[in-house]
Amino acid sequence: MMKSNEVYDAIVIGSGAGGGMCAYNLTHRGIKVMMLEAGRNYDPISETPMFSLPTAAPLRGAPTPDRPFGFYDALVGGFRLPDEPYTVADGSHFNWLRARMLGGRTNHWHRTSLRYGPYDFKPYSRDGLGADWPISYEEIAPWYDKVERLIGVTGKSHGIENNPDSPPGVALPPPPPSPREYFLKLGLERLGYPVSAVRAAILTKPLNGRPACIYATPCNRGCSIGANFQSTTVLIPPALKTGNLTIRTQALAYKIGLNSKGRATSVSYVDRITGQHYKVSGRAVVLAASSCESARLLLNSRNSSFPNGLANENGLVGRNLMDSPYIGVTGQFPALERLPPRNEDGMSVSHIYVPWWGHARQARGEWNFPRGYHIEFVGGCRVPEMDYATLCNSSHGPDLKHEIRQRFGSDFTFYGQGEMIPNEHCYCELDTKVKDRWGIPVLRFHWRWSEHELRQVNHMNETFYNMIEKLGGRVIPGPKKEQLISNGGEGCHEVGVTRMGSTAKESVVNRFGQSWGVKNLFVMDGGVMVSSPDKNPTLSILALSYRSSGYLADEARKGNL
Amino acid sequence: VSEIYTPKISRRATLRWLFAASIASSAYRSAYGRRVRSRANTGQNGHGNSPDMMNPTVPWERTMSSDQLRCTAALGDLILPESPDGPAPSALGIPEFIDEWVSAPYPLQQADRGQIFSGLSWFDEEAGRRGRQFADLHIDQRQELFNEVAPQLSTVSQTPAVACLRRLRFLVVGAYCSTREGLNYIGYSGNMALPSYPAPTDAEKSIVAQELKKLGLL
Repeated sequence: MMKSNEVYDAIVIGSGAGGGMCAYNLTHRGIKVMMLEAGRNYDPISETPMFSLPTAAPLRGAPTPDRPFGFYDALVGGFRLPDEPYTVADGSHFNWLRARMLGGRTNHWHRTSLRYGPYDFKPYSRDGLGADWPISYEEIAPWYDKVERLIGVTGKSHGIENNPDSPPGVALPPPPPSPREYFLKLGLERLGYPVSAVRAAILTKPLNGRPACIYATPCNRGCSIGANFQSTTVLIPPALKTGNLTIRTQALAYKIGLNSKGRATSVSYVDRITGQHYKVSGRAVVLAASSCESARLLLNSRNSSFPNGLANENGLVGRNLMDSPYIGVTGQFPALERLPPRNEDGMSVSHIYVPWWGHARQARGEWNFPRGYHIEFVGGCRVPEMDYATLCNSSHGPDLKHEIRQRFGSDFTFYGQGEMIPNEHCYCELDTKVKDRWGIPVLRFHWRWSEHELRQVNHMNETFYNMIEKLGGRVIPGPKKEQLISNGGEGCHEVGVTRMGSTAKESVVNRFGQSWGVKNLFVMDGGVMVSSPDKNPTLSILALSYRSSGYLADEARKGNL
Repeated sequence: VSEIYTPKISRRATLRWLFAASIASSAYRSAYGRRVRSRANTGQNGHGNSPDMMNPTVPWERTMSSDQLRCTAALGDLILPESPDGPAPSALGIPEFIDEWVSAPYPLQQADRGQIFSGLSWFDEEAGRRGRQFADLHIDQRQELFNEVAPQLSTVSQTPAVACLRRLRFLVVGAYCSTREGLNYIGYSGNMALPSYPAPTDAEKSIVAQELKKLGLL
């Protein structure tokens, strides 16, 4: 074990949304930060294949087990990592996505940036399910404002229930819909659904030295010009400029050390390339390693004072694991074949989405599932993927040749992403037998969707079929009904395993992500979330981390840590 | 249709492909709409989870025999024939791509390999009754044999020939439409930087309005 002599003000474990935001804030407040990233260094400027066509990639860039989102997707990592196993209990289906790169998942995420609404913070009070957060929307709203001003988020004021708009002057103007999205927008509005302009962390105007989007190349590859939000383009470079940030990559943290006063003083990590073990010292420790990795670290940091793991006196570390249930249904619309092809690449993410519209009907008990979902779209005149033939009816010959041109741009996949309610069957714990390459105990996952999510997904399916039919389309055959719902973890929104709360009895950390028992230990990733609304969590992780790291800095200055 | 197919792309072999059946654990399935993600992870001998995306290479060797490649080319050109405004698949290297696909060490591709190879054997065996391999038959004979199978593509038939042709159709269309020539053919005009994103024109809005009116939505 090699020890560093330097004592940092804070050790931040993870470099994605939570870790990057925390490091940005702390370093700008003069705090010396050591950032430990389990993956490799990553440079979006030199490593992003911006305009590469599929023909240059193996298998035309199709998804493979080692590149689950396609060859050109920015993610270094995946659902299975060599040397870093995890286990899944019998009868459970769970796939754990892990990034192993500087910036984490922010390099490839979808960029949809919806604020959690007032209902999302108080779900238990509304319907008696799940739990309430210790904070309200009103408390977090200023931090959403700050994050949006920093990273740039598009949006328009629609005034839709539980879908907060940004205050005037905060959101960037959204791009117009493409002609084909315009068809969806008008049609769905006529059918009674709300259709909103996209809220995405992509610049439509220059901001803070970053250029605007050029409406070309998929955002999931990353962005070499920095027009979308990645921790590696927006947070880490300015943090480094302060001179207060030191980064160690390939540093897999596995244990937090405490002193005799019960304060966190060190983090042990192993270099994933050399296998050398190191210990780095700090005055505060921030976990932002991604929810389940942070939980694993707490559980593996057990000692005589904390035999069940740090911050786990009540056994809640690893519990309340949540994800986002989702499905996609594809429709092919003859009406769109009349529109001439044009460049519709746009911002990658669809320029419109449908926020949840059923609060009132659920309150009246008209539907048999308690929480909502929103709809995003993928389609139009894009580079076809390998399954393009599924749009065509002709078997072969000149008819098929004609049809591949005729169908171009006429399909959209409707993606529904819903809220999950925590349940006792979904959790992770340390596996008592299996260890990774370096001898560190791994996580074991347990998973079972409840009837709430299963019914919700059935509703999505029926709704999408109905929408497609009413818009004159035909559904491209998809999965059987019993296969509709995604496996746990495949929504890539695993949250909740280090829940925040109002008391030490009911939670792992307080309203600022601070451990109840170890005052200088914080969690600033999605693990602190109490609920898993239908909205993608990254924007909220950023807002919570911004807020919590500010609290950390204040408490450190006061000498309270 | 090219009478005698000659490979258009030089081989890009870097590492010999060694597929271990034991690591092909779980199947890829289209569970979440058309844009799916692959679940299993073999990793070994594939491109791994951190390839050089700026200089992509295919780290497995193509494994089709020349006869299989020729048969694939002949079938591909019947699936999506040459037209005045669109070259034949064989002119765009699609057969080599299918070779790359079926040689890849991943579960989906290995499943395709079995189906496609069985079907290619069937076509050559049937052509053998006419004294030649499929690719060497006269175009009319090729078309005749092909037409015996093609109508069954939309049925539940899983004979080797039908299963093969079904997968070849999938791969030929997908691969064709991702080439520069294929993209031009279907009308894709993106992948270029724009200073701003144009709103729908009045003409486009008018078409949308007409179509929604037909649907009773306006």
